[in-house]
Amino acid sequence: MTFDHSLLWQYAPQLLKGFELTVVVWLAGSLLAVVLGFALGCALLSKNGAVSLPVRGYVEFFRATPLLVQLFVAYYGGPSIGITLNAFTVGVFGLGFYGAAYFAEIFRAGFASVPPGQIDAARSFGIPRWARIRHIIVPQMLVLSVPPGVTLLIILLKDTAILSIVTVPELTFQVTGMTIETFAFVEPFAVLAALYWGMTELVAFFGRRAEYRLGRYLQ
Amino acid sequence: MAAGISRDEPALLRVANVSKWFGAHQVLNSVSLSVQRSEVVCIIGPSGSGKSTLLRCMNFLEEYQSGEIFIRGKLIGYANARSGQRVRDSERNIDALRRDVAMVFQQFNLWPHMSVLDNVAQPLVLVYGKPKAEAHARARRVLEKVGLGDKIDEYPLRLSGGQQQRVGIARALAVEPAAILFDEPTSSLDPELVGEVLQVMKQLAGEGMTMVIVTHEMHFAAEVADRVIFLDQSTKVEEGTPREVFFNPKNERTRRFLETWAERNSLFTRNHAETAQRAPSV
Repeated sequence: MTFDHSLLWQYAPQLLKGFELTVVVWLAGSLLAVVLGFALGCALLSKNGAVSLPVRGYVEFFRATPLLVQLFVAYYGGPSIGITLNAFTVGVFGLGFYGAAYFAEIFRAGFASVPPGQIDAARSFGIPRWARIRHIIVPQMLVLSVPPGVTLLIILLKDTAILSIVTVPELTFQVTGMTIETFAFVEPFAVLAALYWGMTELVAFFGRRAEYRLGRYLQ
Repeated sequence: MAAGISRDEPALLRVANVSKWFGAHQVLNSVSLSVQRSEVVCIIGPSGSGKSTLLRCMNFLEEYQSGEIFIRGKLIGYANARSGQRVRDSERNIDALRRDVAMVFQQFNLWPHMSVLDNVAQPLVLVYGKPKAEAHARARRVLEKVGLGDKIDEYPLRLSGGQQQRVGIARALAVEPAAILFDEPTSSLDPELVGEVLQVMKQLAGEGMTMVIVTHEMHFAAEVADRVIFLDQSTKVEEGTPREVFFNPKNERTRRFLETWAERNSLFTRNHAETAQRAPSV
């Protein structure tokens, strides 16, 4: 078996475009997932059931159904109720809403693992509630959220491949197109796997650095 | 009683008939006490007698269901509504009163993500709005006072338990409180580290700091307390000078508690004596 380099060079422009889009969709979706997940995580901790229960329902739904099914519902089901979204929008929001459910749980757990004694100490000095959250809870919660958060970012990065099915022209979409046109499978998919691997290793590398730098006080 | 205080000065801290329940379980049964300026009051008693809960009520870390607690004559935690029923006071008012009493905890409760210096300086910044430089300067002074001037840039988890507790005391001192509440400050320390913390506390007592101390360190209580309060089964059983409570307890329960304590300690010293006696013959 030979590995045909020329094929790759021939398709380099498409691959590059797909790669760019993968990174853009992943970054935008992750940003949405983190921000929305943070808000949802706070809401999960609310003692008011009118706030926490709907959010709990949201988290359960997005965790209990496959991302692919959620994308189908939004992309193909949307028009029947009058919502027509382009593939890119469905991709970013699909990834973001899906990831947010997991981030909500990560942040909720992070909040809950700051020892209550530290809050007692802050209260005993009369440090107001918002200052307690901002200066004592959130910094530690973020540090505790880094390891599971990085894992989730890696999962989301790989899940961008699923967006090819709803015609987002990202990397996997381009490579699939390439195989259909050339009937070559080994080269395109080997390169595809290598590119994902490379990207996730890079994310993991920065994740480990962040974990080390932010968590220095624990060592 | 501390010297030099006029009789008509209101108590710095006054607990009046405070009762508290956790569900059906009563943890405080109509407890009353008052603390004058510059007084050192030690609260002793068996585990589960309500000592720590009482202390936590005194700056409203715990709610209580009946009775009243006054800080400098002001009721903490509750406000009387027009209906005559009492309601929880606004967090703002509660926080304002809490500023007068700082607290030192059994588990230190330092903020691990901040340097030692920031642990001490942060309340000054967040509560009193002090500029950072000023807060740091004062934090440095109190840390030097407790013998930790060389540890200001460390993170708390890198210090020994005794050092961490001294940071806890420095943090309390930095806000210049009217009184400091100590909740079993040495109970989670290795025995060899207890001394350094007690020494700092002794120094504070000598300087006239008002202190309420929940403790199992009887020798320390006997030495530094102006008054000792014995709590048992949610009730204040006895109160008096260390001499009265330790050497001439009026109540049977106090006597039994002190006997058990003395027995455990003399057993310890007797064993040592026996070992020492046997030693030459080996």
